[in-house]
Amino acid sequence: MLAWRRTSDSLWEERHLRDVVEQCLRESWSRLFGYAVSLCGDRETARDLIQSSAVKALDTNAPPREPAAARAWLFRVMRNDWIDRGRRATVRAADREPVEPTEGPWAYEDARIAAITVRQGLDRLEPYQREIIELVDLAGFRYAEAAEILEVPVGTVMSRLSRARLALLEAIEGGKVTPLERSRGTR
Amino acid sequence: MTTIGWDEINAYVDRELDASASAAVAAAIAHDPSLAARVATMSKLKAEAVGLPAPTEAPPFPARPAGRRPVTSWRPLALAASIALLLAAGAGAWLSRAPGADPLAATVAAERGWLAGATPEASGAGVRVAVETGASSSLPDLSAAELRLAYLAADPVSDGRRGLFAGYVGPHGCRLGLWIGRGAARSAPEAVDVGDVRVRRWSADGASYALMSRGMDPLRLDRFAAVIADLAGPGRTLDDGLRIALKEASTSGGACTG
Repeated sequence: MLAWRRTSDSLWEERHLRDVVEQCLRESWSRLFGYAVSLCGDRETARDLIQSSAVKALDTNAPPREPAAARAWLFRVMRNDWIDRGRRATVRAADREPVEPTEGPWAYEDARIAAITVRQGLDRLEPYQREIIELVDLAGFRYAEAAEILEVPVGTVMSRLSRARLALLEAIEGGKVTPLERSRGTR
Repeated sequence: MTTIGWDEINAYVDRELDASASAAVAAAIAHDPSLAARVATMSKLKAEAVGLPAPTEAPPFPARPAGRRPVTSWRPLALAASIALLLAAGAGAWLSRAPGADPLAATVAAERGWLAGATPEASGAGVRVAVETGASSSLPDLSAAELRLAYLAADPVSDGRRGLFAGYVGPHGCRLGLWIGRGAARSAPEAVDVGDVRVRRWSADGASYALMSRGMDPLRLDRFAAVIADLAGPGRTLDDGLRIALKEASTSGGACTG
């Protein structure tokens, strides 16, 4: 009787964990797809990636128990799946040393920042820049969670994100993110 | 003047700084218009990015794949006997059907009536029989989900890919069909709805399977597909784990509407 009870409990536990994963997958499906697109660069490959990753996630023996952890884990599963498909070269590009933005007075035309320009700007970014913005801003992960997904230190997330946002600003402005004095003379 | 780095500005906007660092940035902003402008720009950029909608072209959510539990006394190979019996019992009216038809689509078309609650027809294409015993050693035992085998039909496709359609009925009349045909490459259950019939299809071990229903909640159908995919695995036996899974599946999602 006790042996049966232990077996039953472990089965219930396994199914509970799978339910957590499935629920997270359903709730995060659109954002996961957005992340897949940012990784793959095209929707067709992204569809294949998210389907494959979902099957792997649902078939995992010991997924995280907590929904928040499970959600970050799902993104990591998909990213690892993407890396396994031979995209390591792109990942290594993310390790390039970021360049500090120019210091000094700031003049940026905030009026240019709108949903459509941000969307277009994101499309122009390098995949590793788009990825970090996708994780933190669109998917809503904290730095620590993004670090876990990317398997890098939190400090790397900070620097990568700040450079990616600068690149996004430059993309929106068409490369006119400049110190105040210079921009005054050119506008 | 305190120097606030670009990374800190972003972390401040993201509310990732601790209380003291955040207070330092706030104090610096009050005395530095340029810093305030940077923070304002980053705040606006973040707000717009956060508000971007997710892509709408996401593929359909896949049905839960088979797990690794040991599971069944039911074997796809054993189904050959059932199919042979059905084909031998009926004269092959189905042989006149157009060759090349998609066997699953043809099955859905042929069994739409039964799925909708109609009484099995004695005539027409294919071989159809009502099953009184409620179970078969050659078909999955779904009694743990209170589903009894009530109907069998030979798939009326004439190009050699004919299969078997097994109809199960729940205690409140919910109808669930299981089609088994020739195999394709191994695949996990996926939604391939045909009109108003919800269909979950998968392949394994040389056979193709499709679970279909008109009134069953999609989530519940997903769960049943996952469990039955488990049952179909080679060397599986119907154990407590699968009985629990079947019972769980029968109560998942919304109520069956017929």
